[in-house]
Amino acid sequence: MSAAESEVLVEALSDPSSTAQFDDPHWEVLVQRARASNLLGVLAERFAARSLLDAVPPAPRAHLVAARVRAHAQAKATMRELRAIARALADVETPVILLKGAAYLCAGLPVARGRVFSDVDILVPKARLAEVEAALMLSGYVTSHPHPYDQRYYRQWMHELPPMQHLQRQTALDVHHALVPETSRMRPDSNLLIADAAALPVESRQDLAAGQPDVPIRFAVLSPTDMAIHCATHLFCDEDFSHATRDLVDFDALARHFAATEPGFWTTLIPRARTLQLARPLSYAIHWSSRVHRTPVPPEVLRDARRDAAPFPIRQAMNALLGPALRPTRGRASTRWARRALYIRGHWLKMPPHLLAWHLTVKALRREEEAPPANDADGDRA
Amino acid sequence: MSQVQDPIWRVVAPSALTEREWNDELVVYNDLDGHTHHLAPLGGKVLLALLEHADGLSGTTLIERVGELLAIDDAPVLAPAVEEALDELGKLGLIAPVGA
Amino acid sequence: MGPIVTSIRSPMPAVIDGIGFHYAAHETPDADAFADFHVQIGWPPGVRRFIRPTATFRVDETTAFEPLPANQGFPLLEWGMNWCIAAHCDQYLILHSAVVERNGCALLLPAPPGSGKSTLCAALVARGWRLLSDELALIDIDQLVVTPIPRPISLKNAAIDVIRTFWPEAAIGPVVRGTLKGSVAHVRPPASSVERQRESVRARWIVLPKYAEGAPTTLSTITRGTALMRLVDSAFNYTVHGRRGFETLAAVVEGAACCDFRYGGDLDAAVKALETLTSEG
Repeated sequence: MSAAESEVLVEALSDPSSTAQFDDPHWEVLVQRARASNLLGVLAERFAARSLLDAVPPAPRAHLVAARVRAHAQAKATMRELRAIARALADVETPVILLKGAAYLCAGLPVARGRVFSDVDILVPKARLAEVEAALMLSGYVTSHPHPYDQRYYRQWMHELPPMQHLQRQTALDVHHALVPETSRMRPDSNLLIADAAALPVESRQDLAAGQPDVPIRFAVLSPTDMAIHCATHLFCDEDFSHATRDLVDFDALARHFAATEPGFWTTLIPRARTLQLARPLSYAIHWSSRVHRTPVPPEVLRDARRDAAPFPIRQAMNALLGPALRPTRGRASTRWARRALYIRGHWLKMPPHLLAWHLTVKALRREEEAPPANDADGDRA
Repeated sequence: MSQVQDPIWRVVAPSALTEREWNDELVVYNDLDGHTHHLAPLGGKVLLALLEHADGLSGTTLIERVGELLAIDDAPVLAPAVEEALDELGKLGLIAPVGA
Repeated sequence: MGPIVTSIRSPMPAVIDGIGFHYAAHETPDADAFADFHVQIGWPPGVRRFIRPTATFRVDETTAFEPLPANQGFPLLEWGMNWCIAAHCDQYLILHSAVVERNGCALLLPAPPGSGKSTLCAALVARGWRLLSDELALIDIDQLVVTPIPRPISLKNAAIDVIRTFWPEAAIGPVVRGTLKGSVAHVRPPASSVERQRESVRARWIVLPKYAEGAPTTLSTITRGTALMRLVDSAFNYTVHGRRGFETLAAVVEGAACCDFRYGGDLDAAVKALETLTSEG
């Protein structure tokens, strides 16, 4: 696969009409890349938004149609899950901030269109964590990582409870109290995020209250700037880069939308990220989004973002890894190796070296005794 | 008559339901939870009667209405069966007593 | 096959021979044609191939299942392709069902494994019915027709010899023993069915088969509601389609005669009963 072919997806996402002259092999590459990056639904919605679906030849169109059906069903399932979470937390008087996919959906943002949803992620104040966990457990959510080492790993070092799963519905829920782990060198203050959170639009509140008018809907979403910063943080601090292509598409879509709808979005973004101690990941996101997706970042913002980049030579090393890792070419060796290196780095960001060494050793030893984890599992991870 | 003895029942989310009535059976899809139900004749009539009244119906009125639908004029016989159907439809999440 | 083009790469002789034998009547598109799925059936990496030879199934650069012993390469390919379709082709409502056609109308045989639907399907095809699929009913949601995807019929265990006896001319491939489902052999789809793989048809009969050893052949009408619930249970992606899924299955049920079908070892009687059903009106 040539470099030009790996750009096919990016090109088609930003301008679906670029596919007008495509022949079968081009379409094939596009559908495969989009499917491997979990972006087939997003691609389909971008064709649909420009009324270009009918111009697609029947064979690739079938995949786009199928992906739209699937994405629509996942959005529906996410709303069902959120209704259930609202019911479970009816008696816990705490703000509940929806993160990532669920937030995009409830905020009615264009980035949600066609997107794959899997786990629901919520953020609650750390002081209310125990209450929230108890209420969720009462309504049928159980921890999906019963191993004592995992429990300790999450509860001592992480920014979230061990992932929970609903006993009957088998749905996954991540409850966070911070955007990055306790042990991380970056310490964004969750109180600042919660203080700035935005209410849901009326239509979403009505949808969430459907069939349960007496259940209080305490959901909110991060402010536009914080949402973009979290997207960048998730993309560049997570150890799992298998969703990197999709996450960068999210960042680009968020930035474009907020730049058009929120006055002062670009000017407040970087200062806010500095306050939250998340300027570094935002700097990477701005750099790569403008480079890969030609996000229209104002020049002064691009310059400013560069000041938050890592110093030489780390910056060069990171950029050398991020190039291949962000590409939608899962099967290619360069992408696999870059993602593996970034997996180690993601852990490095999460915890001091002695903890990291300990954690990776335990993981390696346990891999011997357990079935191998699904490395290519699709969906969100926080 | 007090609320406790004769509560008002209503359909939880009428717009979420799609139903098909074939002879005496009713199948209904609930878009709120994605479930599909196959209702016995009486349960089907109870649901259809409630769908006619967005504000809900009391148990007593329901028994009359279902009696009309089934052409059975015998409230004492119908009453326990309707109670049972209400209970069943409630468990399926299709209907709920108002104010519950 | 049918609406799907699969690009298959494999170095394994059993897979190559299996494709040559079973897909002889299928067209081979140009190398440049759009392929829906890229499938590889291969050896595991490195020396493992020589220690414990297994076959791995990869689709779109990802390993999809646990590897199976190398002799199961062809069944693995067939199961893998079923999985590709069931997991990705949500433009259709997909039922776990055999589909055959007679007089321009389709008979659906939706059933869980072990109910003998493939045996029944092979028996009907032996008597001249057109094969649309022995595993997957692809229902076109807009047109309410079943899209054919004629592929080898998969027979298990005793059914292999039953069909050999019932249909001596059947082109049956090698028996692969020791799979998760026991012994498996595939029947090549008739060329006439493959030729008509672009002809979609409406479902006019829904027959829910149940094999019970020695039982007499009985066909009994069931209500539409019962049939609908059985179709819901047999669908791979009913929930994905939500309200439209319900409306689609309701319309299918409304347009078809719905029956429970119990049959024992007498395939002749079984075929005759279904021929009688499908000759009425």
